[in-house]
Formats: sequence, C-alpha cells, structure tokens
Amino acid sequence: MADRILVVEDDAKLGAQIVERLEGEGYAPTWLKDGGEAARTDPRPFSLVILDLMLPGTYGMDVLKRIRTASDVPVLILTARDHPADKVRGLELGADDYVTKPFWPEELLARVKARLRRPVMTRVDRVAAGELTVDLGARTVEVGGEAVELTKVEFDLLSVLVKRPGQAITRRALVEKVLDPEKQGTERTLDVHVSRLRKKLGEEGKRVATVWGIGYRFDLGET
Amino acid sequence: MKLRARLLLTVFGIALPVVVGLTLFSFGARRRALVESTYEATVQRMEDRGRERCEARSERIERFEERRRGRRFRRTRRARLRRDRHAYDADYQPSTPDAPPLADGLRESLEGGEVAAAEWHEDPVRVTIAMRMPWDGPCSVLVVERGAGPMLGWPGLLRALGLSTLVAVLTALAALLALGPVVRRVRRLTEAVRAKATDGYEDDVPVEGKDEIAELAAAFNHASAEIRASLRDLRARDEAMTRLLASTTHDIMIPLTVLQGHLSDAWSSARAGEPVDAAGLGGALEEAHYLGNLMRNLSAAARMDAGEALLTRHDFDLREVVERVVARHRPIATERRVTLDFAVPEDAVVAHADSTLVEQALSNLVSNAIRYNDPEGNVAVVLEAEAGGFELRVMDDGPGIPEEELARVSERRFRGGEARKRSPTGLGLGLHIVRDVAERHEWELAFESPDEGGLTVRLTGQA
Repeated sequence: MADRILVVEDDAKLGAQIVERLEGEGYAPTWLKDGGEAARTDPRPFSLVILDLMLPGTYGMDVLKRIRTASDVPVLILTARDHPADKVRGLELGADDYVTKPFWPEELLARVKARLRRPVMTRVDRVAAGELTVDLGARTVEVGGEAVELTKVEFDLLSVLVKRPGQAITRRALVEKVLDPEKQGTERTLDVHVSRLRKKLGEEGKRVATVWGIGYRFDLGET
Repeated sequence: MKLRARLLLTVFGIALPVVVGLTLFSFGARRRALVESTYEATVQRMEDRGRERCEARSERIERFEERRRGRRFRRTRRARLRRDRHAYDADYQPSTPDAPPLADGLRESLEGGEVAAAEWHEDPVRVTIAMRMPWDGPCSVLVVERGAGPMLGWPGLLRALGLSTLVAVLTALAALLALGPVVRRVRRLTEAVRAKATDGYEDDVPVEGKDEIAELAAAFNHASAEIRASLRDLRARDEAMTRLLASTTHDIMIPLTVLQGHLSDAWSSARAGEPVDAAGLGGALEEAHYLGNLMRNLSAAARMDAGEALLTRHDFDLREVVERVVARHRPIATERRVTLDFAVPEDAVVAHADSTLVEQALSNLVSNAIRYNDPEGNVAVVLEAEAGGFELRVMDDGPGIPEEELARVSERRFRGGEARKRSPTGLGLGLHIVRDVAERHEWELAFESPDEGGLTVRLTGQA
C-alpha cells in the first residue's frame, strides 16, 4: 500500500508541484492549504508529514507542536529562511528533517525517501537481484540457480556490498572490512579481488559497479 | 527646574531656616546664660553671709509683725527688704510681708525640680528669676528681678532675625551673581551642541576654561568623535550595502534573463508543436540552480559578515548534509552529464557546527566541482570518520585549478565585489565562503591537485 503523506503548504503552485511529484513517485499525498485545518487533522494515518513553516514564528510551529503531541509520524519541514535558528527550533520541536527553499523536486523526494526508508534489518539473510542470489547465512552464491565458488575474501566483499545496496562504499572501508591487515591488504589488492569476483559472477558481475573516486557499489536494479 | 530657581529654592528652603534657627538658639542661650549667671552669683553671695543676713532679717520682720499685730506700727526703712529681691521658704511662702506671692509659673518650674526658673517681661526688658537655694529655711527660695539688655527682648530678637534673613538673602544674591556666568556658559554650550547636531557632529564645540563645564564640553567632543566614527562606519556599510545590492541585482538579473530566454524558447517550441530543445531546458535548469545557490551564498556571506553572534552551532549528522547536498546537485549534474556519487560511513558522523553554513560550504564545493567539470566527468563526495573527527573530500576529474589561483584562494579572505564575479574560470563567492566557514569552525581546508588531474578539496575537523 502506498505511503500516505500529509502535505501542509499554503502556496497553491508549490503545493500542486509537491503533490504531483509525490503522486508520480507512487505516494498517496493529502494536501492541506490551511495551517489551522492541519492542526485539527489527525496525523496518525500518515507515514510522513511535509510541513511548510511559512513565515517564521507563525502557525507552522504550532502545527508542528500539535502533530508532535498527537503522534510520532516523521515530519519534514520546508523553510524559506536560510537561517539555522528556524531549523534548529523546528528540530527541537520534533521535526525530523528539513528542506530549505528553493529546492529541487529531487531534493525533496530524496528527503522523503530517506524518511520513509524502512529500518534496515540488521540480519539480512538472503539478497536476490536478477539472476544472482546471495545467502549470507549459508555463505553461498548462486547465479541462475548454479552455485558459484567464491573465496573467503570474495564472499566477504560481496556481502559487505549487498548489505548496503545502491550505496557507494569507499575502497578504504572495504579494505578494512574485508582484507586481512596481517597480510597488508591494499586498495590495489582489493581491486584484484573485485575483478575476480566480477568474473566469477559473469553477467551479474556488472552489479558490482566501480564508483569513481570512491570505490564500489552493489546495484539492485536492472543491469 | 532651571538652575537659578533651584539655587534660590535651596537658599531659602535650607539656608534661611538654618539661619533663623541659629538666631533663635543663640537668643535662648543668651537668656539662659543670664539666668544661670544670676543663679550662680546669688548662691555665691548667699553663702558669703547673705544667708544669715536674709534669715536674720526675716526673723526681725517676724518679730516686728508680731508686735504690729498688737499695736500700730510704722514701717521702718530698715525693716524692708529691697524691692527687687524677695525671700520665700521651702513651701514657697513669702518670708517677708511685702513679698508678693510667688508667680505660679515660677513655682511650678521649681516644683518640677529646676533650681532656677525665669519669667521674662518686656518694656523695659527684665527678668524675674526664682532660685532654689541648696538649704531649707525662710531663705530657701529667692526671687530676683533684674533688668536685661534690649537685645534679650522680643524687639531684639526680631532685629536679629531680620539681620540673619538679610544675610541669607544677600548670600542668595551673591550665589545668583556667581551662577550667572556659569548659566551663560552652559547655555552657550547647549547652543553649540544643538548647532553641531544639525551638521552631523562634524566640528568640536569650543572648550572654555578648566572647570567642570569645560570637562563637559570636552566629554561632548569625545562623544561626538565616537559618533563621527560610527557614522563614517555606517556610511561605509551603507555604501557597501548599496553596492552589494546593485551588484547582486546585476548578478541575479543576468541568470534570470538567460533563464527567461531558455523558457521562452522552450515555450515557443512547445506551442508550435515542435520538439523542445533539451539543451535549452538544461540551460534553464542550470541558471535556476545558479540563482538558488547565489541567494544561499549571499545569505551565508551576510551572516558571516555580521560576525560570530549569528553562528548557530548544534550537533548534527554530517552524513545527512552530504546526502542533502548531493540530492540538491543531482539535477544539475545530470544536466551537465557529470556523474555525481557519494559515500558515507554506516554510523553517524556528528559535528558541532552551524549546519546551514557547513551545508552551504559543501554545496559550493560540489557546485564548483560540477560546474567546472567537463561533460562525462566525475564528482565524488566522501565522508569518513577519523579519530575524534571527520574528513570530507570533494573530488573531481575536471581541469582543476591553476596553481596561482589556488594560492590566491588560500591566502585571501573573502572580499565583497571582486570575489563574486560570475566568470567561468573565476572561483567566485563560493570558495571564499568555504574558506570562511572552515576558519570559523577551525577546520582544515586543503586544495590538492592529484597527479591524475582534477581537484580534491579536503575538509577535516573535530567532531
């Protein structure tokens, strides 16, 4: 079911844009133009509230307080003032995040996604992407149903990457996590391991993407 | 209240009552002195045989009186006491028949424990003094009537009062006279100060003499020097603000005009059913992005110019700042065909800083890295936790910054006008803000040109 998002924005054009974007991303937004109405609305059915603080010190903060007394729903505040006092006050009043105007729709969506991100399960046992299946518990890897033999380092490397899919991880972090410091593993050694891992995974090896200047990233999507 | 009126009021309100009081006190003291000296002289005289004579006379008169009760008797001169001196016994009864009864007032005073009581009479001024002698008998109370000088009478008192009032009035007049020049000088100073206020405290007021008024004038001159200095400062700021506003308007008008041009073209194409030029729209995107960043930078610069007071430090997760800044630059990076990636640690990297300024600093670094990169270039933002702090790197594989310009960035503090030029090679306001933010947070900022090209900006600080 789509996440319900309460949008409190008095500006008609900006409100319409936000709602359109949210709908485009598959969310179910409810748009309130009036702060008073927002204060009376039960925030509990919503997964997230996007609240425009409007003018500093006006009812935006009051709405925030009301929402906070009623529920723990994440609140993302929009503020035009590029002054931290507002943000800090908003965060103190219980807002979870903020976006300052002007913002790109992508910026807002990134914050929305970050807030709605399901808590990462600490124990991910199986990760499947395309033909690739990684069983972290059993330490086995299959591509198209066929088991792939990986060395300890290669498997560790893959598991670190698949645990944070879509996120770039620095070479340095990977070296620290995967390579044996006794054997003086370097970033160069790491690259060799990655290249071997890719080869063993075949087509699915493309999922282990090189990120310029950073290191590597595991992509969940289509290759 | 005016100075002179206050002086007169002070003289008449305080000096006059004091002078009158002192006159009255001295008058009373002189009267008391007369009574006391009479008492002492009388006691002395009585102790030197006076008492015996007095008591003998009383006895004689008593015997004479007894005889007189029997037959007619002519008073003898010797038998009479002097008219101005009478003796009374301990019960205040006259010891001689010609003594008048003791006046009630005197009697009460003596009964009240006093040794000498006086009753004053006018015209001529005289006093009746009743004295209790330190013994009993027919001469235990003596009453003497004696004349006193005219000064001890009411007319004398009135004269003395008149004199002291005259002295007080003369003093007041003298003070008024002395105050005249002071008041005139204060007035002149007031006029001078009023005149200076209209010309913006440009010149000093004249300092006359070496007294407190001269000190006042000097203090005023000192204060107006301060005012002149702050006025100059304010004018300079005002001029700087006007220049800033003018150049800001200019800075905003150009990208806005370009933006309008792109949008107008796109709209014309769309209206005519022609395909919209993606490059044009990309240009529009870029201009809008530039405008947003410019406004943020101006706001940050204004806050930093205003000093430390406006910095609001609080704890925040640097990972969120990185994510936020990267998200903000994704559209422009896509439009420029520059790959933008970032990496943050799994655990929070908390910094105690002004989050808005830090965000703006990072934003400027990322913005420059994208803006000055070539198409198909790469930009990477890496946040790493270090022992007790963090390291934030913004790397790109663009053309980099020439050595001399790098040196300039590291040397010079942000200075309004020239730093904000919108030129493709200029470093702009952005880097100066980065430098300022780093300095204010005591973070280390390093620009490195790696061998493989591009630029790496490293920001390291304590959490």
